Amino acid sequence: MMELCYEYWWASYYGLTDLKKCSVFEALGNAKAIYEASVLVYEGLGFLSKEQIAAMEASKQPSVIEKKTNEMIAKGIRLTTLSMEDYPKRLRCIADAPYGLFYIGDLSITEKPCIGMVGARRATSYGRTMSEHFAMQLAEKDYVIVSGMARGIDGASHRGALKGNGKTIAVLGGGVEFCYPKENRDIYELLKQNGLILSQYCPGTMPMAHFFPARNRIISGLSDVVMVMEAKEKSGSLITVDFALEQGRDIYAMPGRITDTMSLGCNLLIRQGAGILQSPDLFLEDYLPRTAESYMEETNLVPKTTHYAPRKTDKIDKTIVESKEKSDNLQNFSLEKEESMVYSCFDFYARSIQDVADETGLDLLKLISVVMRLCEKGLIKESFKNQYIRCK
Amino acid sequence: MYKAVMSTNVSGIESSIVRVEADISEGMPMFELVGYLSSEVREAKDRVRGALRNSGYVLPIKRITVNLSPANVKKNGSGFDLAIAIAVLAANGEIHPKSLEDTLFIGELGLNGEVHPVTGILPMVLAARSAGIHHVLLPYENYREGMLVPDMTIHPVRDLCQVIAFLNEKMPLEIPEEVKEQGFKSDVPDFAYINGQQFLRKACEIAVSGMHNFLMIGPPGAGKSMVAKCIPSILPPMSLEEQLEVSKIYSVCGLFGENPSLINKRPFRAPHHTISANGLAGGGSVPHPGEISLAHRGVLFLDELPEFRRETIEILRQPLEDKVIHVSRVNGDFTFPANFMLVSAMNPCPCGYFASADAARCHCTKPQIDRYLGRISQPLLDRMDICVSVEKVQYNDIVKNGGNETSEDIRKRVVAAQQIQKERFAKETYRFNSEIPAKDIPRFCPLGEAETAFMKQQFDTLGLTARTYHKVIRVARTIADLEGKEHIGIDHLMLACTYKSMDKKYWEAELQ
Repeated sequence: MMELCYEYWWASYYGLTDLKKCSVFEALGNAKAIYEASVLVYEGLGFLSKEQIAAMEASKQPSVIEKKTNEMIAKGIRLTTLSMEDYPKRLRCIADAPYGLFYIGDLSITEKPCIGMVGARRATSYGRTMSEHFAMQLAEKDYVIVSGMARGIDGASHRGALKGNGKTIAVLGGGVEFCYPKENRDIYELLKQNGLILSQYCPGTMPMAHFFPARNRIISGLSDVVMVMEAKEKSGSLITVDFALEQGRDIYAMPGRITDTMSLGCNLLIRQGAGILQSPDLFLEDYLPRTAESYMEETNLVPKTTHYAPRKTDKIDKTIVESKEKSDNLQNFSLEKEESMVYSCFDFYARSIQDVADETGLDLLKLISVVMRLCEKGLIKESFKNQYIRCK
Repeated sequence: MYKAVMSTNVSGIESSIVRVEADISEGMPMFELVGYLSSEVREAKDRVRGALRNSGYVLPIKRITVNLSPANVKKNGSGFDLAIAIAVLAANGEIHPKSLEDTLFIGELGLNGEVHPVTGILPMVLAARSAGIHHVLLPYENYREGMLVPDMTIHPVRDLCQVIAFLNEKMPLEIPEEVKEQGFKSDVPDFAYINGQQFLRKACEIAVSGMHNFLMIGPPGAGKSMVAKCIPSILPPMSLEEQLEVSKIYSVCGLFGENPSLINKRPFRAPHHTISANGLAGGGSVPHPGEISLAHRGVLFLDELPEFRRETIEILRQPLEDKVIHVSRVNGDFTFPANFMLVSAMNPCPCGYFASADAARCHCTKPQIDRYLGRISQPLLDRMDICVSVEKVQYNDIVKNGGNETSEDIRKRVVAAQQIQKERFAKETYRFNSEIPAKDIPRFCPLGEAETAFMKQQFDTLGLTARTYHKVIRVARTIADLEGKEHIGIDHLMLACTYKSMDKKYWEAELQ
């Protein structure tokens, strides 16, 4: 068997937890040594049960392993493992790093400053718009956006990064050859060319809901910092936050209205000390990319004390306020009185025509013509039937 | 001896004259009934025999043959009993033959000789009138329904003895007392009770004015059903011709109730979503009109549209185009009128909160929503001219008391708009803006230069198709009619664009 087959075998062996796989690997040195070791050696390690050893022995079927490895190569999927040089350095530092990563695309971008973006699948249009905005701005400045390619925030983040002509990484909860969900086929195809799709699951693994928490720890593990864009009070994104904290990553959260259930989790994180995301520029002022080496220096197997971003209570965010005022004024100058009145009623949260009619008290025909004109100018758009949101 | 009397047969909602011939001759004693009979007509033999004996007449011990002519038309219903009994008695010489002329006999017999009411009197009496018959003998309980047809002499009878006495001795019949129209107040909800929701109210007004099909989408409790129930209160009155058309359908279905009068209010039918395809379209071995025919000239309201079985609502596609429904059965093809306005309501997802103000309450997954929407086909959605999303009512609007426009005010505008359409389409076969065929759109809905430019732009931005483009124009025509404007303006087109039909794209954008 060629070298890669041993690596494939150990990477795709899921009978042990990632932590134990790491320990076995550290004890024996490389995949080939693990494969060729006898039962006695395994027993000598002291942390493998008889059943576990038997299962490992049973999985050693050279013909099957070789066939699967060749299939993987044929599909254009590649593999990196802890014993290889190109394994993402930041991920190498986390306690339960997956032994192997299957990927399509350019693995080297994992060494650039990476920012993880997570959030609800059922996001509001505010969440999606802002995620896209942040991702685009950061990608333009050559930061890599890491996310999970799910619906909602994930998809919006990838799309934003691609719009900003930046690099972006999708971490999947199944084999990398499956595009899940299928609505994000556009992202998937672009990432193949211009980004990276990776997964700890071997080709042929169907995406399963219970894989997703493990997937989330890779998202945070690859990133310097994790941004939570929208999360309910009890949310899967908060699991990612727990992983990120264990791994010593910084947490930022995007605030929302206090009445908004989709922002409750984020607001809670901010209360607990997470950094607040007001604008991409302000975030970058705060954020110093850390090199992989800085993680290496830290003792990587001990859970670190949480390191929150410093809070800047003293500094009021003048730039964004000014820029918003400026843009508001500019726009208002070119709008008629009624247009600017109607425009001011709209928000990044969808509002129905009926609502705005009640608020402005305008005649229906009049209001509709104003709304249509605002749509034409690209200031608002119809988000759902008879509901509109702000674009600018 | 041979004698014949007249009766009628109802098929679908049309009725035709049937001659009931009786012949009594020497031979093996028997009582035979022929003439392509359904089983309830064949059973008439035993009812007639019993009724005659208990009224004091004994069938002669001879060979009795009764034929219902024409023999190639299937005979249904229990209304032939009286005619058969009278024909047999006449053939036996018990009844003066002269009294049978120019008279139609309708009624079911009980074994004690009583005459029981039957359904479908209205089309039967109408058939008699068009056949030039002037007298109709019918069950006492059906008297008022028979009287709905003008220029006819109706004789209500209670039992067989009375019929014979009337025919032979001209014994006067007891006429049921005129029931006073009770001045009960109409229980149709009024638009005055609907607070807020101008956007939706306007949509209703436009839909009714141009008879546009109408779909409401919104969370539970937004008032979709409530608004739908108010729609009858703004429907314009029916002409006499329309009233007869509708009443005939109700007569055949036996839906006249105790106190029949011509149906003068436009029907509003709201079948439950468990209805079968036959219940909606009409069915049975001898088809009866279904809900869509009962809604003829009125409104068919389908609440919770996606809860209907898919094959049931897909049936609507053909009648929505043709305004009639063809039902083919073993006994022949039947055509029922089905010119109705479709009003429907649905939630945006199984739980109902998707994309609403309470969107955070929605826990439906993408596949769940797909399955829910999958029950309505895009062609059906495309047939909805006006589609509006409804939001829940705000507190201030709930507690507001009065000050709303009443249905009567809205109805006046609707009637005016329909009058304009009537004049415009005087030479056409259709009557409403919603029915303008694509080829006539340039003639009746000409657009000015600015309007054409606007629509050209909207065609791309809204992603219109040829069909939806025409729908927008038709709706804009109605909006302009409501305002009494001869030309369609940009603001009319804008409102029509806002009401344009629903597209599944909306859900996809939100779910991405």
